[in-house]
Amino acid sequence: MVNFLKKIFSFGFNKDGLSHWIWQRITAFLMIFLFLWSIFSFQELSINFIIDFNSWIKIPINLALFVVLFILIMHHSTLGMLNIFEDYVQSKKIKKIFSILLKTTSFLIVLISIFSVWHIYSEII
Amino acid sequence: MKNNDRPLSPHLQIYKPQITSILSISHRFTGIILYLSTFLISLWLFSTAFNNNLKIILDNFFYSNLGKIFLFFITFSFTYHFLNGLRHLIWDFGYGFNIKNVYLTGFLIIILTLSINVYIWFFKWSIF
Amino acid sequence: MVQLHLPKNSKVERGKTHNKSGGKKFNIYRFDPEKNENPKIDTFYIEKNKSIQMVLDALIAIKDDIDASLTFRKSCREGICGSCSMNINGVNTLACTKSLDDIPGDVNIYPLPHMPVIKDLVPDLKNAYKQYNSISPWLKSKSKPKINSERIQSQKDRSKLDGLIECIMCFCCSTSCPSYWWNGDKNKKDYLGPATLLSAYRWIADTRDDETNERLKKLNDSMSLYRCHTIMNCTSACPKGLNPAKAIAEIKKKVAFNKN
Repeated sequence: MVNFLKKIFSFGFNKDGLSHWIWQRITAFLMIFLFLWSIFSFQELSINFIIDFNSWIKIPINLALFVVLFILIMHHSTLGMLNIFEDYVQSKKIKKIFSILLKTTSFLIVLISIFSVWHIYSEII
Repeated sequence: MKNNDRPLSPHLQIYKPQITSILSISHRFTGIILYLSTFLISLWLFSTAFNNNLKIILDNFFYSNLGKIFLFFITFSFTYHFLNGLRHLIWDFGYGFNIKNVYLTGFLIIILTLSINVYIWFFKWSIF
Repeated sequence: MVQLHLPKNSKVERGKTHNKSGGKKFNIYRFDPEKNENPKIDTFYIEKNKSIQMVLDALIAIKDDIDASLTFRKSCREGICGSCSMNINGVNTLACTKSLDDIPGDVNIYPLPHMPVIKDLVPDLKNAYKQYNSISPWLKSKSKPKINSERIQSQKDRSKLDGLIECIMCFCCSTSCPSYWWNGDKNKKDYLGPATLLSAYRWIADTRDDETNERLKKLNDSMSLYRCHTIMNCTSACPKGLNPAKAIAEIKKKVAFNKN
């Protein structure tokens, strides 16, 4: 078990094939449940989604799960995009540049989103 | 390529499109669409938190026809990627590799994706 | 970026029609290394009859009666040697086991896709064999077998090799795989392709082999194994009805959960 954890420690962001592969699956597996939860949870606010979202996110459990879901989405999709570069980009240099750009973009998106959601959450009504 | 003087035999040009390869490349395309749509979601969250003017522009966009097409692509990609992702996870556990099952589940997710999207857009949200 | 279109010297041109006797129309990829010309599609007509039942029979008939320069590999003509693998109407298969009755219209024949062509329907499989060699396709055991005896295996252990040892190395699967097209010939680190990985699993699954962990470790990099995205073209192409995609999935499972 310790060995297994050591093997996948890099969260999929290094040259190791297994770590990348398994994190793509772990995030996918977790997202199944979180997406089903979010779809059913969003049902209640489908009439006026935009206004209701603010009050919905103010419930702590919603905020927590939403943040986790968003991180999972970004982790999963960044790994997916890296895979695409690995497949189609031949030059090592360009691949490197692309992957740095991609990781930075993803990181910024996570940062902006969590910061925004936190701001909505902590706002007084 | 080592043999520069030797021609490369045709590949994409001649290989028969099959449900196996078509669904696989669609998984990829929908994945890219979903990655790009996180930009939009992030922008929307940002506007909701900090910038009311931007939020009005975005909301108007989502209610416009172009915005609806955008959203349609996103929901379509999401349902497809979700269902085909489930299929991939089942494969990764080592089940469903029989070629008959591959085709069966392939058709199943095409039908499911279409019907779920028809349900969402025509009945649930009755937007079209 | 990956090259989706063919290089300049590989663009296929319209060739000539060799005879007009009627019967089934065969469009066949031709390339002559002696001439400085691009590959061409030549047309032949062959009447199906009692002795011409399979695509290979038709190819032999063309070579005998119409154009003796038509080149292709063949040997056993019963689907066990794996020589006559080619792309027939868009799908890789063995010419000797593909019945003409299963092809309603014209027959379009190309060499195995995305391979350097030596002549006509003969692709250069050097790289594929090199990759096959890289997985050490032989038994690696630390113990010596008993004198005057084989290494005995229980029926249960032996059954783990069913569906793996039947591979005839025709490379129909590898050359049907888009991932293998784009990453199968990178010189340094290649994606090994379904045929080689199926064989790799044949030795990983063998209970008599003592180097399972070393074999698994060797496959765990971003290229060799994990360029497989379970596209499934391999399984749908295999003329022997084997399942390379499942074998690869089993390797991935083993790499993840094996103790090493």
